[in-house]
Amino acid sequence: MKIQTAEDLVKAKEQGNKTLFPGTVRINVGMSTCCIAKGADVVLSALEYGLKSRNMNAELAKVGCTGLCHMEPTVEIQQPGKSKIIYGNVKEQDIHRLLDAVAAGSVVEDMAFARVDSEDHALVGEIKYQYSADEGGCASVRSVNDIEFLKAQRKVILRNAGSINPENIYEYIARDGYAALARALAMKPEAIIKDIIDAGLRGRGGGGFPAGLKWKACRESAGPEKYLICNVSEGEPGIGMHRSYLESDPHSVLEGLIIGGFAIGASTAYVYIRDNYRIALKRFQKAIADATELGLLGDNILGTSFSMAVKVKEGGGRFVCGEETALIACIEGRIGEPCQRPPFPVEKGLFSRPTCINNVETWANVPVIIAKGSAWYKKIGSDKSKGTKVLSLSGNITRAGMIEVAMGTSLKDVVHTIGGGIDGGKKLKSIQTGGPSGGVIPASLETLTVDYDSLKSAGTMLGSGGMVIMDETTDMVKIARYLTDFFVQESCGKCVPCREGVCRMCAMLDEIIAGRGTAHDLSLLQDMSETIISASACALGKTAPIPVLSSLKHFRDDYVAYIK
Amino acid sequence: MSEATAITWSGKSEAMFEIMLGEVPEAMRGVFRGKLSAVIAQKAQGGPALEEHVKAVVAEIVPDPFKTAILKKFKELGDFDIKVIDEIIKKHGTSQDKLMYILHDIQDEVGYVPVEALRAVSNKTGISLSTIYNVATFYKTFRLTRPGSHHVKVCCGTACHLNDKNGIARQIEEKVTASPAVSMEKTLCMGCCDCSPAVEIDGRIYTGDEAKAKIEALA
Ligand SMILES: Cc1cc2nc3c(=O)[nH]c(=O)nc-3n(C[C@H](O)[C@H](O)[C@H](O)COP(=O)(O)O)c2cc1C
Ligand code: SF4
Ligand code: FES
Repeated sequence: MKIQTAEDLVKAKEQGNKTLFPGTVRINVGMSTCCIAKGADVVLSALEYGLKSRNMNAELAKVGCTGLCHMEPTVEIQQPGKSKIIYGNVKEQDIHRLLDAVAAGSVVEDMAFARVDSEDHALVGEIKYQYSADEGGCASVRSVNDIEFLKAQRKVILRNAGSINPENIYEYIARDGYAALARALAMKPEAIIKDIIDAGLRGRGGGGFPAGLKWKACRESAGPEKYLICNVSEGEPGIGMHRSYLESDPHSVLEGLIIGGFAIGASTAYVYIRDNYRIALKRFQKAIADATELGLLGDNILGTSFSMAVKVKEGGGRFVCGEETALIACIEGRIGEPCQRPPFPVEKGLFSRPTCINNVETWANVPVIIAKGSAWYKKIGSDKSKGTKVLSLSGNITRAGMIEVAMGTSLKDVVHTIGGGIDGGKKLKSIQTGGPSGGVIPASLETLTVDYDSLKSAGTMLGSGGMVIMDETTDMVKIARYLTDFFVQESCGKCVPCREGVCRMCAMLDEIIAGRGTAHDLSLLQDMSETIISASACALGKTAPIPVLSSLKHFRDDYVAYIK
Repeated sequence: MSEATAITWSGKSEAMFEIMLGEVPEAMRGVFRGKLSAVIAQKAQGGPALEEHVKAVVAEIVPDPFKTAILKKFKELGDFDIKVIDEIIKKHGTSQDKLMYILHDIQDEVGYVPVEALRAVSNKTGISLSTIYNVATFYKTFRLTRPGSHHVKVCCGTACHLNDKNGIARQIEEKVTASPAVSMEKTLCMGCCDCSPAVEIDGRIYTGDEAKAKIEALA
């Protein structure tokens, strides 16, 4: 079946609702990489076996990551007309009790983490699970609205993550997916770009460049053919939310790309996915195949004259390939060495054609803006940073996971309210934002907000949203050494300041840690950092000294303790 | 080795013999070890036991569910087929932007990218060997040497570094030094930072205590 008219879309929606609300019990098992690592695959097969041997009729859905990574594997059980129940830390041996409860229409109270009566979905509005208050009999279980981890979040991009089956396109459509595409195809391309500009969408890959302006420049740039690239390089340590996200809701990225292709006038898009992200890669390929089959991608999309192809490119495990010119070199089959800019990719990019590169989360924002309008979107967020940001919380924190907050949320809320504070009741020492290229900031700066400019003013950056939390026992000199070493490993080696300079810095840190450092070394480190920043060719070299600079600034005592 | 027969092994034959034993149920291993090494020694006729001797024994003596599994393991360990490369190139084409797709597929098929394979790719596509070698060595994902029969990837990301209080990274290094069948590779963040430290063993990611136990059990 090809979807061509509005009625076709409604029909597809009905089909999706048939599995989302099957009329029998629906069981969601989180099956992202992070869930499987903790044994979700074992739980899933135990459930399959249990259902079969009891001859029970149920819709068993493999969903993505719910973000509750600290209590995976998670299982959600949704019985018709009753509140959905979330169970966390489920083990194989618990399945028996869960299925007993399903058969009896009850809840395993001592295992239940929370109940969901209704959900506020960013696109479709309220999704009701429980139809009358007296039904369900699970009032003893906490409501999700009382859970701090979830209460302070704002789910826009993650609206479907963990609740729909990412390999079922109909479920995405049932949650108003591809409606934005239908709407966009009826608009003028310039009007779409204007919407993106008005919404104030900024690039989520780190730089925060206004996406709409980039689109406009690419549209106006002359060329026989144009390309789009979706950047899922995610080479820096301490993130992982782009993988989770792509595994949980691939169609939203695809929809964003197709809308972008129409607005910019590109007929081919490349999705660059890091190596080792096999599940994300497979799910995205399935999403492309399914969308093509339904006429949402390929030739004559939704019955219009617009055609587009999306290709997947698997990366090679180099951090520097996240840099846009290196990424282009990688897609062209060359080694990923950054090139001089200008010319910028929007003028001369992939195969020397105008190319628009955006981060995966940037693309995922597009359908929301088109569906809800820029005025709605603009209301979320802070003064200069609009919308929400997906963050990955990790390190010495009680509740790690993939979260989404409105821009402007304070780091304090992120760490203490959502993250539940530091593991083992210790004190917060430092937060590293934006991966190794960001800086380490002290606990006293936790009043800063999740916002491009707020973090930049403190000498760090939002980056692509990794937050690594470090407790009071952390030795910041060793952390600086570790991060500097990361850049030594990942430098492409093209220019001297980065290749040699960062290497020398790492050796000096080794000397300091070995107790052979002097006060002079500290000022030398400072000088070298400044030279490397001003003389390196690409942003990798320009940010490599940041861990040392920021730790020298905020944690000088740690260095002095080594020097004595 | 077997007490009854003293065997000199040659090339990969001993590793193959051990793989074979690893695939049969534990209760049968003792019997198999004695019996099969005797047959191998007989085939070798006093000379060193070669890979083909082990293969022949597996084909003749070992019963089926195990035989297939063993041969599959041998294939992972052993010689790759140049024909595989022909097919991969046919699928992707010969332009340079297809090069990484080709290398990825070779690694998936063969388990690593042998230098002979690079030469074959160069002949078939017309891309110079130096260019191909440059690409294959720049990208860390490609392995140019054969991994052990158990391959472990250790995350070296920030979160895993912070959370590795049990010294899993060191535990693995010790294991690799002690056991030639285990190989290891350090990788960037595996995207499981929330449950760090993360370790990938034979294609599946494990975390925490489970990871520790799994590594301990590797032989
Ligand atoms: C060393 C380096 C690594 C980068 N890694 C990433 C990455 O993993 N993901 C990403 O989206 N952008 C990354 N970037 C930024 C990209 O170059 C580019 O600015 C971005 O993809 C543009 O998309 P945006 O405007 O949507 O943010 C990296 C930049 C540098 C210099
Ligand atoms: S700054 Fe470093 S990564 Fe960037 S081009 Fe120079 S050597 Fe390569
Ligand atoms: S830092 Fe190890 S999985 Fe991310």
